[in-house]
Amino acid sequence: MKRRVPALLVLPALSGVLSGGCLPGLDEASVETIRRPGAPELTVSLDRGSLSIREHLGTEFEIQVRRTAQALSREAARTALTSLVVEFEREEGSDTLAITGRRATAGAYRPWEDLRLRLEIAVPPGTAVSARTAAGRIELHGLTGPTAATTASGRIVANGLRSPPGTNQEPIRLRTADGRIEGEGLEGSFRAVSGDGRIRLRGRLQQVTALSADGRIEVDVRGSGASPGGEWLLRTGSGPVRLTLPRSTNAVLTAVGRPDSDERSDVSDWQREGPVALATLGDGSGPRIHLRTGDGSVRVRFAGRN
Amino acid sequence: MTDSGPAGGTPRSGGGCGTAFGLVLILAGGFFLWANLSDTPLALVLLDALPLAAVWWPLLLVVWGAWKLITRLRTGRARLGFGEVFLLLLFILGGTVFTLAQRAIESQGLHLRLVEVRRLVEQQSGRFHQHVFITEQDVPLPPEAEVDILISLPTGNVRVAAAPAVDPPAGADSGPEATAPGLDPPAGADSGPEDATAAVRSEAGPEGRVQLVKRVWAADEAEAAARADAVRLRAGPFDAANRQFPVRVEDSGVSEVALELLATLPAGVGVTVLTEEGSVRIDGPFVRVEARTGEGPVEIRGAGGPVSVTASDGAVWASAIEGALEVQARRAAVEVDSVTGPATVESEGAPVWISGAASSVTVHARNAPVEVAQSFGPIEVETRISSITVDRIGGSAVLRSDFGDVTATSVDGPLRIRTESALVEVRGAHSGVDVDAEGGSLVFDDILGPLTVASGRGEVRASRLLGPASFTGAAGAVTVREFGDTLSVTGGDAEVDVGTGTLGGDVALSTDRGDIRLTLPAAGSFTLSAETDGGEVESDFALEQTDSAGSSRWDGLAGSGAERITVSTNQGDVRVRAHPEPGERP
Repeated sequence: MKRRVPALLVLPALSGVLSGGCLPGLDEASVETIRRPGAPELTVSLDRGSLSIREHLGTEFEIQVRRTAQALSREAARTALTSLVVEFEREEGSDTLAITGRRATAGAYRPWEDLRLRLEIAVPPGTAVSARTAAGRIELHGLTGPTAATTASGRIVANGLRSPPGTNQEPIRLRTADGRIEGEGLEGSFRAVSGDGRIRLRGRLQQVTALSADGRIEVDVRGSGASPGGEWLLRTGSGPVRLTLPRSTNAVLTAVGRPDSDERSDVSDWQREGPVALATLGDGSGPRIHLRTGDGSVRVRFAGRN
Repeated sequence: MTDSGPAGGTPRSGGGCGTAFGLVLILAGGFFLWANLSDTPLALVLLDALPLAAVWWPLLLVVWGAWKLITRLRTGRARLGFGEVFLLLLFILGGTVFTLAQRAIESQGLHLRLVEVRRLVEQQSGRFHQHVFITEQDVPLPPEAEVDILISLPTGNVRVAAAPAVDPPAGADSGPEATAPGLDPPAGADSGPEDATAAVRSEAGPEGRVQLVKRVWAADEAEAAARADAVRLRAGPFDAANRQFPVRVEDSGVSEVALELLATLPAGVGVTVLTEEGSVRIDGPFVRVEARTGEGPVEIRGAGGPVSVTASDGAVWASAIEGALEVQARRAAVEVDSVTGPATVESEGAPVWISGAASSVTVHARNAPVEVAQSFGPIEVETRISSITVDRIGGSAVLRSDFGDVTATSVDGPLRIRTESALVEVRGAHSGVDVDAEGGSLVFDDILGPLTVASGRGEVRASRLLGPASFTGAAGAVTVREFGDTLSVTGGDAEVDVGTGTLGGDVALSTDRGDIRLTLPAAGSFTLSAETDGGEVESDFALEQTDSAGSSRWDGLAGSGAERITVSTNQGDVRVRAHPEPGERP
């Protein structure tokens, strides 16, 4: 048996090496930090690349540009890095700093090159942020100004976001054509839309609209002082809808789907009226929460004491 | 488990295999070490080695067999293990494929292609350096004329920005505007052969400037320059008949140059950009904008006139458009934010999000969810299997989806919905609502105007209806809660459950087959007529049986009989309840 082992191991090992996993020297990366004076508004649009935006205590924008290139040789990768262009525009008297990123070699036939651009941006507190990428992940951390993020393909991660107070303020808007949306430690009003992917939002949520064409929707309202209000809509074309609310919530729930209640903490006294199941929490004076799924179950539960 | 081989210094059977494995390790390690230290791309080595391997691979079989033979002669044993057999078969299979591929290449005359591939690999492995050339040209325009700038290039990114609205002093030099957005030369730019292109300056008209950035991979400067030279930027001449100023990038097709065209143009012109692949960004109050790309995102901001976009495999972002907008997108998400003119979108395979449309919105989408919000003109959306969501619409809306869910919230104008089978939900309609659904679930809340629902098969729930309401269904269930005007429910095979605390008009409920449950205000004023051919009539209100000729008909009067209520079913029970029930507090 011992003699067979080396021969059997050679093939997978050799294929692993040839697939590039062990080949050194083909990646190159560069990191550049750029500072720009603060502005009330920041817009970022990338042709391709990932984006991370967070707040910091400074008064200016701090932009870290990370370029990564994979090519057939180290020298080629180094050259390819210069193809990733990032530009900054701020017209005189304008309140907006516009950052754009693109691959300057679009259209050139370079199948063995893999270029990646990542911007990590720190903004002053309260900055209005509008971020777009045609393909790439967007991460938002601790932003407190009006925020909108759209990606044509990629995940959106939002942590510690707080929508501006006031009933007339627009909700924080998160959109992806294809990908997940995940938010933790959120506060305020949110509108999350995914063309194809699950949505999970957690925090002291005041009002939520979560729409997915296909994927699970999970909204977890927690934290002291969470005061849901207004009209909520959690809708998915296919997949379960899960909602967790504080035990003291007063609300009217309407559900289309299969109301489900397995545990004691689940809302179970649904009343059926045609296609809609209704339940009233407390005195029903709070938000009207609409839960919809084309194919899946609906479950509403109360959060634990902790 | 003892060693079966002879004791002492005699080599064990299979020792050769271990030696061979060691040799393979040494060779493989040495090869990869060499590739790493010399930065030689493996693809090149493989390309060079393939023709050799295709011919000489059987030699390894000979060596292997000889090794086995020697081992047998030396040790008296030479077993063939399972792993070796597997490796042998794989080796023969791979070698045969190499040979056949090589013969096919020779017979089909594909050598030149391989040479091209080799050159491409060399380019992309850094053996050829990247050279950057920049060509600049002015765009002289005739004064006081409506001009379209037509920019076309084979592939590459295009960025167009509006020139600052400052008239240059007479006789000023027309050198590069280094401060203009998008016209800074890229880092590491070489002095290209066309840098000295003479700028043509108009006598009196507005002026723009275009810059073509060419990235060339070549072994030396001369070759790079020759390749860059094969790509020409041609601006003009002005076509007076069509009021068009062409800016063309002409490529011989073999230059393999990556292109970017950056333009700064006067705000008062129209801009047309055509590229087969690459991103397009047009930023400024141009009077007309047209952008087409085969692959890549398109971003249009602040256009001052009609905008037309055609894009694939990317995204379309249009914002602050002062005019009409027309988008055709395939596998490209469309996001529109603020457009004053009519917006028309045809989309396939990616979502459409529109907000802030002041005029009409028309969307035809295939396999693309559509969302229209905060818009004020008439909305018309058609999809097949994807969802439609409209929210805060100031005008009318016509929504058609075969199988996608339709959600309409807060619509001021008349709303019309057509579906085959889907969840249709309307909350907060301030005018009339007309729904035609073959199947699915229908939900209505807070409808202020007339509501007309025709459903084939499915369940309907409606609540808080202020206008007259009419439901016609072939089969399913109809539930209505709280209505303030006339109500008509006609069902073929349907369960009907209707209840209200106030009456504001006549009520007519009828089914061919199915029970009818009706809850009326205990203090209401109405005449009630209930009829069933094959069922029972139960009522909290006093009713008198008036006809028994084959059917059961009951009539009654409450209060002054202001409203007329008729309930009839051919097969089913009728139950009329009072709310609050007798004995209950109101």
